[in-house]
Amino acid sequence: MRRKVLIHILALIALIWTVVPIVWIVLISLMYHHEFASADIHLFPHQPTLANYVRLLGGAAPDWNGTAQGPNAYGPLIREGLLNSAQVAVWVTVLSMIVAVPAAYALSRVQMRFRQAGLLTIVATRSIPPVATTIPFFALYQGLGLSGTKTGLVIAHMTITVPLLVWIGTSFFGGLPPGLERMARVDGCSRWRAFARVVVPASRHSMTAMAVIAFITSWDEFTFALIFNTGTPAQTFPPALSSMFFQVSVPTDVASATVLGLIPPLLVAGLFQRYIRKVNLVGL
Amino acid sequence: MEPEVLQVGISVESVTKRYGKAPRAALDDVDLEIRPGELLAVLGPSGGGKSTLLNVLAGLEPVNSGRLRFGDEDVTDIPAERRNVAVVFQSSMLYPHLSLRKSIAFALTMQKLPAEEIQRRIDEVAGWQRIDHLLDRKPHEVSGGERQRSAVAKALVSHPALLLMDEPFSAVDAQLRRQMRTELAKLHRQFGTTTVFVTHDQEEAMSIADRVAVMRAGKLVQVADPLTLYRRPASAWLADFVSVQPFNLIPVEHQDGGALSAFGGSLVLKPPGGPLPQRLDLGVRPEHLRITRSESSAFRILTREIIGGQVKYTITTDRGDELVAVRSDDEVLDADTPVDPAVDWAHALAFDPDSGDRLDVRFNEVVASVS
Amino acid sequence: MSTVTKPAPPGPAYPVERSTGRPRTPFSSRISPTRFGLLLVAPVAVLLVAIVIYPVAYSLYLSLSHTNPFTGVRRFAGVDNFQQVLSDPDFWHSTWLTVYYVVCVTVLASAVALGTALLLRERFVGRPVLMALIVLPWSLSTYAAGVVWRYIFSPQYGLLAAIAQQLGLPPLDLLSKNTAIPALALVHAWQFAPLGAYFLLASLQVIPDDLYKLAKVDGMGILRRFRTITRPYIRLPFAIYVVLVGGQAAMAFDLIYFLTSGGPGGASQTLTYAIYQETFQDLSFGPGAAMSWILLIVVTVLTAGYYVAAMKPGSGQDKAAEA
Repeated sequence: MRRKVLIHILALIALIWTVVPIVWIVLISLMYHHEFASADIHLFPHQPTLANYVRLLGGAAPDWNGTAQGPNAYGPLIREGLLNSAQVAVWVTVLSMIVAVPAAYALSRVQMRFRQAGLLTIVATRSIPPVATTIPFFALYQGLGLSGTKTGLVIAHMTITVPLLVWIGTSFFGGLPPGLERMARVDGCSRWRAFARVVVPASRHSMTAMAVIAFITSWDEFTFALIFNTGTPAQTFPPALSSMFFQVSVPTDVASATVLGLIPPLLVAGLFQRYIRKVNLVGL
Repeated sequence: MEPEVLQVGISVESVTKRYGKAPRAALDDVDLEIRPGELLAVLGPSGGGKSTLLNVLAGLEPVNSGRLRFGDEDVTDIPAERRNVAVVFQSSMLYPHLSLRKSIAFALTMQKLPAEEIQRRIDEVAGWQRIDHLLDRKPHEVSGGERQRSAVAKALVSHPALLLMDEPFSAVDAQLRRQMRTELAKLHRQFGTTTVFVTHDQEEAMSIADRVAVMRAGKLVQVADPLTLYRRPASAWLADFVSVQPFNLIPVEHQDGGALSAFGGSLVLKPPGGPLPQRLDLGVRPEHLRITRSESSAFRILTREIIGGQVKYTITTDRGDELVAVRSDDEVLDADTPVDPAVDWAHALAFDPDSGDRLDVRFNEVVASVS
Repeated sequence: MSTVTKPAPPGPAYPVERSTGRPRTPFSSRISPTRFGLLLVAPVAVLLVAIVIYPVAYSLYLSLSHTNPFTGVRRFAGVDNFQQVLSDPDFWHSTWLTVYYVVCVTVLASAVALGTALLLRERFVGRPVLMALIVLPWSLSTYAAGVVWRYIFSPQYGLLAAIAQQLGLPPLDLLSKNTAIPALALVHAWQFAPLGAYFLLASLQVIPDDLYKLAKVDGMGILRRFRTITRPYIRLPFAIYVVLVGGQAAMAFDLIYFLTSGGPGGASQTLTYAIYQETFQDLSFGPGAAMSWILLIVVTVLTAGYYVAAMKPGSGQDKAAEA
């Protein structure tokens, strides 16, 4: 009995520890600055409002006391950032899938030599930290004119996503029934068609998961985006948020911008949740 | 209805297959003639090369040397997708993401047959295999037996020149397996497609095959019809491998007067007939070892197991030598009963003690011996 | 060998070779499996050489050169950059901070992960809810986690400061000089503990209940049960997790950038942050590249060493079988 009570107390602590920071920022984003800046800080807004979001997205919304307030000055920066991030993430996803899926397939299921070596190289590449590549990339991009472009960022993100997807993909394809290609071959497929017409459709759920992981990885990437694209027209969301965070200190506005940036990956993850649930762990 | 069937003979000529730099070839100079329309079982322990043989016949693995012929045609260099074979894979695999209908039709769509023809053929095989009502389900939505029938339907639908089956019953329970075995035999009678059936289960092989090819360590040990294989196994290993119960292999020594002694004199046997080779091991199946109650015997019953109408006895001496005998359950003997083993000489076999090869020795009469 | 047709129906003769609608064996089936595999891998191989191997090699070249930040002119410098870095007290200060940070993160994250995993193995009201919510921190972008915790730690508008105020305590600033590193580590642990909790929970769930029952019958206390039964099962996954988290902590950047920006007064200037400052604020490529190489080598050696130690035969799950 004492043990039961203790476990429930611990569970409650775990719950608070886990969600309170996130709940807190969401609640802040729903407060008027006036209320937030007042002396006593409280958890639940007395006067909950979506005004911060509306103003970030370019609309006008009255303040707590009804005075008119125009759009947020950082709105365009954030909106453009979200748009650029989405574009970069989609390109990263598409291009990474195109190169990574066949490679993952070959490394996991084709009876080829150099398989072990190939997998080891992928693992080794995965362990190279971004700090080791940002400096040469920065130097190279200066020369190539790729600094501050979406193309440059897409390429930089692919250094992370491609090895990651190949790695995850090998475990996915490895989970297919062992004789699948042999059956396809006997049924009249060439090696290539066995892959394209049977293996790919048979693993569409896993590939959806891979695509989602690529998208989220690109969306969440900060270092490359900060170093290459800060203050350029191709600025993505993370550097935009960073500028807003360090330049103005209206916490309620920053909070709502942060929450806005969390929505796309959570949305994508939520939509395809049943496909990615099984990868959550393999992913890292 | 009588299906249209092409019965093709297959010949495997000195085929050798080696994987990479493996020290031992998976198929070591294998010669095999498969007769048109026969059901050949390829039997052997795992790693014996039987799956490799299936892959080579299907065109899924290239050979290192030797030729393969389907009928008069040399198919050695023709890959699987053009060889016109069908395979029922292990665990009755079907495409996991397709409905049974699409799985079955897949090979036909790859051949770009007209839709009506595909429909006609699916109706045909679905009728034979009683799966009409399941065609729109996915493989994981049907039972093991239904999946098995669908896998066979998928194989037959393309009217293959050769039907290969890779341990198709390995994933179902014993009772269903027996039922499927019978169904397969019936189907083969009806269809008559040349069929190669790979299995590690000697009971399965012996019960349905026209002929059985036994493989061990990449080599064909013996190819024969089941009865010959049972009565005249090529070696002691093979005799044991195709035996349902443990095979008694008794090392014997010659004694004066034509008698044989075994187990340090605990067992003395008097074989009938002519002179025997200088050295031999005697092979006796449990059903051909008769035991009778005898107070003076050195053997006594260690265990007894009742197996439907028969009783299997393990008998032992004080030295720990063991023999297995099977007899009817008219009288069930208890453990510790002293018994005297006797050999049914008409069915006894002799083997070379060194090579294990069967020696051509016939013990003509049936004589019970006394120890 | 002959071809015999059953006498009954003189149906069409089925060809021994099947037509696939193409005249010849398709290319992908004609080549060897190795070549087919290499063709599929080729795009990735080319890409990785171009965007990973080449840049990394280029970074080695940079670390061995002097680059004029204004003209961009480079000349070979040998190990000058490395010497300069290694003789710089700031570098050693950053190294010390990195080690301190890695230790804090590893200890906190593994403790939280193990605690959560052990908790989640128990039965309690709302377990599925907690199970689902617990991934939330992990699914946050790291920079977002930085912003989120800024709202907890900030002495002006942070939740902790507010609580301290309401309790009548002196104002609390966890991001001050002495506590910056542990505070950052706490956030890092908050974000990465869920991964470890899931990872360890999966291992905990394979331990047969009977083992615990047996141990209770044998009169083992809760600590001995943990040591003799639980520990052998989670040793290997735990080791893997520790290496993963430790490696990640050594590379942490986003959190530090948002929460302290290396401050206050360099109190959280870890190596990664120092590299960032050196290279992208001071545009001093050579020493920056040299530092990044030192970091890379140290982390790789430590990680490899830990893996070797953890996977040594006789450790880890082999013992589980004996238990």
